[in-house]
Amino acid sequence: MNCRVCGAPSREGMCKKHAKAERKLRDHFRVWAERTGLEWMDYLEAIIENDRTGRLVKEVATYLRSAEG
Amino acid sequence: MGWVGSGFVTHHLLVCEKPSAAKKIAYALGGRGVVKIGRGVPFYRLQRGGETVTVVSAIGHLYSPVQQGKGWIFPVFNLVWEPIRNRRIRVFLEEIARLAGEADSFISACDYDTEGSLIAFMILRNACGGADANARRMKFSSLTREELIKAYENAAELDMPVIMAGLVRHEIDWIFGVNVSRAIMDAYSCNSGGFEVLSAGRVQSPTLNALCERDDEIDLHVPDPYWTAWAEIKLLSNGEVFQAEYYRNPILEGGEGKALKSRCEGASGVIQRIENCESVIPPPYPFDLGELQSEAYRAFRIQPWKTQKIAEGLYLDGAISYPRTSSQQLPPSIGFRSILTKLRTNIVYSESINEILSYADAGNGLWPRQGKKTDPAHPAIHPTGVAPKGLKQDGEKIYDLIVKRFIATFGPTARKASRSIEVKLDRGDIFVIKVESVTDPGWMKYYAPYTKAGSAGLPEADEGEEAMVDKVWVEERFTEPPPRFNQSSLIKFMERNGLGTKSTRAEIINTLYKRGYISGSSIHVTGLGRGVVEVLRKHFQDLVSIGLTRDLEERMEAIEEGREDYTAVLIRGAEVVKKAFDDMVSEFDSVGAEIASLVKELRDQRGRIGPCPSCRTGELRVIRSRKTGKRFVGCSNYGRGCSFSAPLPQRGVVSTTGGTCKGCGYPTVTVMGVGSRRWKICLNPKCPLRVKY
Repeated sequence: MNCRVCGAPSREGMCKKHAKAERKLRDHFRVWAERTGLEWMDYLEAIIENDRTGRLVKEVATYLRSAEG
Repeated sequence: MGWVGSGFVTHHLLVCEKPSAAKKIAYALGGRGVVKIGRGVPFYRLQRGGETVTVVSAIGHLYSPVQQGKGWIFPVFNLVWEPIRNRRIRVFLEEIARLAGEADSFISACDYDTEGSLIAFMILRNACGGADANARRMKFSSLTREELIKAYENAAELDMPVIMAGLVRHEIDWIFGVNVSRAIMDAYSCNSGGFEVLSAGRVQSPTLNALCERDDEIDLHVPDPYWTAWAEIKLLSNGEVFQAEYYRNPILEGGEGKALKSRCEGASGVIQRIENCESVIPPPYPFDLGELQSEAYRAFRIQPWKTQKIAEGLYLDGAISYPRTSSQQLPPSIGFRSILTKLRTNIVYSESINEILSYADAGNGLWPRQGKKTDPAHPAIHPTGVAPKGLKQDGEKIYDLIVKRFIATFGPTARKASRSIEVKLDRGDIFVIKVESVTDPGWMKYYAPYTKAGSAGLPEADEGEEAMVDKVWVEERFTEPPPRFNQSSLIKFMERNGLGTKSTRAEIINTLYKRGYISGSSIHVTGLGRGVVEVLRKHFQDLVSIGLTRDLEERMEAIEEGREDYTAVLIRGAEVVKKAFDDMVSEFDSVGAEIASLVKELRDQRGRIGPCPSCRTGELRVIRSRKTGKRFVGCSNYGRGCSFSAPLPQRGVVSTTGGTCKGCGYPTVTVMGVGSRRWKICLNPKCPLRVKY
């Protein structure tokens, strides 16, 4: 099986790095929801557009937006 | 030893580290009576106290560890020290050996540090027929006449613990570097049949690993939002307007910021509390090498390796003390007043120095501020009072920084006053005006322009006075990722974590750039660097560990201080490498496969130019002709209908610019030639803008 984001070999749906990025992305959604009231898809959009977002997190967010959108 | 008239005349041979140092030492000891002999390997002869002195120099290290016996094998632990294979070094060694035959007393006059002691020791032992047994050591921190004469007259026995520490450092570095580099290159070669220079090192690899970890943190950063609120507040008594910060910053809820703005804009309030505070800013510590490198980078953006090189040049000119020091302390024995008096002849520093001397003579004494860090061999970096000659622009900057820092360390403390004014608005919200002002610049004026002493003046106000909010603004902010390392912060990180020594850190960073493992002034790890680290993390985990490297560094320092044994430390280093190899042998094939795929990917990346302008579906790549060996650009659809090709210069590194030509729209490439000359060319042979190469 390959990573759904980068295509690298992986045992599960994402490679280790992208899986870690996804965990962090989901953890931080709670903070964003509390502070801004954004919904999940709007949160992904905001994360993708933010210059401070890390490369791996941005890749996962972009993937999730297209997969879930 | 020779007979002259009726008695023995001792003949001393002084071995120096560099030709410029040899010249300086010879003229300091012999004055006008010095005779320079020879051209290729110049040496100096002089008479002193009825004895003959010959001063000869090396050109840095003349010996290095090499594998005992032949063959590309690993792990290899048998090493011997041999002359470095280089024609110039051979000539130097032959001349030193010839001069040693004429001498009967030997003195090491190399720079007084681990490397200098080791350079002289290897020469004395190998080129001077075992002269290390009875040789003596000159100990000096600057190349001034007085200090060199004193060092010559008080030359003591060789500093063997320092030499042994130097030996073990080179030997362990050799064992680590050679074995791990060979292993990863061999694994790659066996798997792919190709060859690629890949290297690893005892300090280099943990440093690269730390850079990768920082990159990982940045890549995984999720910014969280927060808000800060500010207001412009007018004091009604005098009409002055100040910027004030909301007392509950940061605000963690977006709605709260909006409500605050509508609640407070135009509101009135009263000053409920005023707090005044005075604080002192002590003078800076004198420079050690790391701090000088950081400060030069902060003030001038001069790279640490370059600062070190410039400082070494100033030392060889006799203008400053030995720069490879970790001390932040200046002992009175260097002669504070004498140095300042000499520096006073330079009009740039005369006014500052006059003030410092008056301050000292007014009963305050002439005492520099001392830092915590010490160095058993050298004091902190300081000017000697000797004026440097013919400095280039960067040299002038570094010298000025060192002199001003030295002067500033003697200055009085600076004083700063701050005033905090709390304004409570009608509805209970509080905004705080904070103003700071330097009331007495003290040492700061001697260190200008490298520090700024702002003196804006404090606002006059009284408790109970009325105020009004003109404007409120709420700024949306996000948590920042950790900053990328630059060369200055990386040197500090290495210092904090015991990676490398004061002399080697800048050079190790430079090597990482040269190998293509890192790039940019705000440091990014390249694909190659990351690949190498990932292989090392997986198969040589110990070798990327900061803890292990720090442990070895501490043990090597302990040898210098006589607390550890040379053999025990060497065996410890070898055991670490051996254990790593035992673990790795079983996975040799998989290591090779990993590196092969990494190198292939990198080569692919390096060769990609961009989309083909002819067929528009293929990709242009740099291709090397099997027939002629020459390189050119071709399309990936060659053989499937596209025959686009473009010639390339045969020398220099070619990389894509990512852009297209303004004249014809074809892709452009950058060619970096020998000597770092860089130019851009268009791939269209018929482009009207194309410059012939």
